[in-house]
Amino acid sequence: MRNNAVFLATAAALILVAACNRGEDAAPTSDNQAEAADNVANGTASTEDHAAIMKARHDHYEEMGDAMKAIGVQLKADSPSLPTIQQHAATMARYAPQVLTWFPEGSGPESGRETRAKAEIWSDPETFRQRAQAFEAEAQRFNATVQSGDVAAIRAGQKALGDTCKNCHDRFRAPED
Amino acid sequence: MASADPGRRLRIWDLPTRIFHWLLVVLLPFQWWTAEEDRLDLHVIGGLLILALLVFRIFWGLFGSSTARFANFVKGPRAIISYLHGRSANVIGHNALGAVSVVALLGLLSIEVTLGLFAGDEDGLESGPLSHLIDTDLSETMADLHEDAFDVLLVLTGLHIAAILFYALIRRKNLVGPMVTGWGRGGKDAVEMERAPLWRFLIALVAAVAIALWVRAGAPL
Repeated sequence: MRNNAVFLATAAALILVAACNRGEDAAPTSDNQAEAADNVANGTASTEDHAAIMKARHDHYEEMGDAMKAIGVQLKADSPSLPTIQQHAATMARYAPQVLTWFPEGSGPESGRETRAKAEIWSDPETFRQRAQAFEAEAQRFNATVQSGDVAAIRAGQKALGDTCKNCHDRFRAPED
Repeated sequence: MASADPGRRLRIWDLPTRIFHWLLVVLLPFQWWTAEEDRLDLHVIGGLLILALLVFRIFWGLFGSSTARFANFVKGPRAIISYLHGRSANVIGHNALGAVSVVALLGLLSIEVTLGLFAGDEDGLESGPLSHLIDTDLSETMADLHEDAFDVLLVLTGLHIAAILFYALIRRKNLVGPMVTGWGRGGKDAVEMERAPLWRFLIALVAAVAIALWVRAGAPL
């Protein structure tokens, strides 16, 4: 019994450390990604620029996935760590407004690169925009909710935020291979 | 082969074993459907019910009625070969070959449930009740394996149904009836099923429910 408790405590500590490390990985986008974005905006994008955009987009989504997982882990814990939740909610709120800039024309399946972004993003931009904006609104709301420290409200907010992720993925993201 | 004498009527399966079986028959498609329809809330409840069924069945396999006990029907390769040659003893319940199928199904189902308990999706939106105990990357791997293992489970279930059809059509032996009514036919020297007392059933039931509820709560110590 005691051994189990020690084991679980160690495992939990390791998971926390892993989660924290992951949070610190939230580095600012590199210069060549910023340059690539500029080139795309100016209409002078090369295929390398598209590759950089797609890579950055992928990394950001990975980070958001990790943030959502870390929040989920906390919400299952006996006493959730509010600072951890707040840190990851901030990641969501920081990226959410950027989503619509991550999908310049030519960065979809037609690029020939591996991507789960579906062509519908560009063929139905209005729906894509609505869903991305719904996600942004929910991410901001969630970021405000986590400041309150009300775990029940945070839990409900996490669900609502997750629903906006899923709502967009269901239509615009291809299934995993 | 099949003798003209259908044998006398006797009890083969007790009520708990039959209820266990038919609940699984209902829950397996339910789990498939809830996964396909993204109803992960219901999927987790279904998974916990299957966990309770498995815990119960393991208890029942150790202390339950005679035909439910592993020790009475799990046999070695020699017994399986001699069954295949039609030289098996006059036993009721699972035959030596059927036992392999039972053990494989129970084992795979246990693996499937365990994988599901620790599984988590790539977006951090859905997760099994024990996923917080392991690293999230490992949870994702568990989710992938959970999906793959289900295909194997479908194959085994298909084999199970094929075997029942084989007995029904070729051997002219009805296996479904006894699993519904508990009654079947056996030869003159067939040994009657020995019923386990109610208190054992109650202990197994309480243990199954308690473990499932504990897991649902995230297995607090």
